[in-house]
Amino acid sequence: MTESQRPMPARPGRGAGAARLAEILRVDHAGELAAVHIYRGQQAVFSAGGKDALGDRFKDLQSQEAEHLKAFDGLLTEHGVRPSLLTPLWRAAAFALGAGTALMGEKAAHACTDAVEQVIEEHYAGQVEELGEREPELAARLAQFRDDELAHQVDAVEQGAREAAAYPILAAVIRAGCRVAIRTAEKI
Amino acid sequence: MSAAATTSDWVETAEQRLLDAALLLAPTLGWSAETVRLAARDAGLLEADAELLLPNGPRDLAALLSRRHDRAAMQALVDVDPRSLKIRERIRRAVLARVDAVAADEAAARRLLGFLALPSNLPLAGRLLWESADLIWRWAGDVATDENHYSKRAILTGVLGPAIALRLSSGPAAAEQYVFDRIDNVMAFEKWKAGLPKSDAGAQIAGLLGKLRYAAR
Repeated sequence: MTESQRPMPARPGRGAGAARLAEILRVDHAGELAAVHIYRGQQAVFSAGGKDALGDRFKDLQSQEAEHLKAFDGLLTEHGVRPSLLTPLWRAAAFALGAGTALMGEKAAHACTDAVEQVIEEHYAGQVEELGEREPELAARLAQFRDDELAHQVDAVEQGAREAAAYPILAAVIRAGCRVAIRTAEKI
Repeated sequence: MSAAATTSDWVETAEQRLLDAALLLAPTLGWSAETVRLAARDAGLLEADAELLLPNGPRDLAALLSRRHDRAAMQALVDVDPRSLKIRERIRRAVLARVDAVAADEAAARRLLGFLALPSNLPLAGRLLWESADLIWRWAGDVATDENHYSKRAILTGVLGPAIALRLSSGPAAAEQYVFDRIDNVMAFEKWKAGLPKSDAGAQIAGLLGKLRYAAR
């Protein structure tokens, strides 16, 4: 009997915990990278269009997400985790989403923030729960990021995100896209 | 000590004992199921234990040896402070340390090269080289978290594999020269890349569209 024909039971083994932690850090890193580039796209459109107040607002959001991204840069290196292979794709897609919604209108841009931050906030909440006992330190950090994202979402709603044209469809499409991206970035 | 820790200690030492026994057999027997069976006997392990430790047989032995060589290379570099060296010197030192680690088990490693060159084992060979390249880059202080993470390891994998083959076929001088020349090639390419004009086409297009959309009003 050759090696490949031998039945081999699945064994979770010693590496299972570390592998899951790697997935978590990888997807969060990709997510924050995407967030930075969504806001960069929106800022580019509004600043060039003479909407300086909006440009500054999204620039501010961008720098907040850049702080989160820096934290995950450090965590990836610290834990020896590879980044997502699709990093260039996430960057380009996020920038296009940001620029696209900004071109649709101010409220559509806020609707984008609303939808994205909502998914990210839920995503962090799930991870905080999962990591709570195993990695309390990391969980506390993620909880803090979650609060930041939640604040962004509340802010976006106040700015009239939900009055955007076709808000339910727009938000649903963006949320679905984010969820697919999350599943993909965990593995690839 | 907890039960889990005891088990994992047992696994580690039993794996290394198996590998030690296999290293004595491999120069004549190569890396085969027969080697695994005899190594288990020589190491005083039950055949069932050996199956549990090495579900993939000789392929798992190959992985164990590669990781042992990784550790040996890192051990040899323990007194070197990578930050005191230029990046090319860091990579040269680390690659040569890894090559020397293989050369310490020369006879067995030569048979391993043949084993890993079998088409069905090439993916494994690639994974093991990638692991070694990853370790070398991390030792050299690489913190890239974008696609450069992959391109750096891909390039180094392409240098490390042939360097090991050359060391085993043509000796240390040939391997050293090869590594030196390839690093030169990479540096020349990086220099060319750094000279390319930088443009952010995305932001330019977005800015242009933004002007059309909002500034006209």
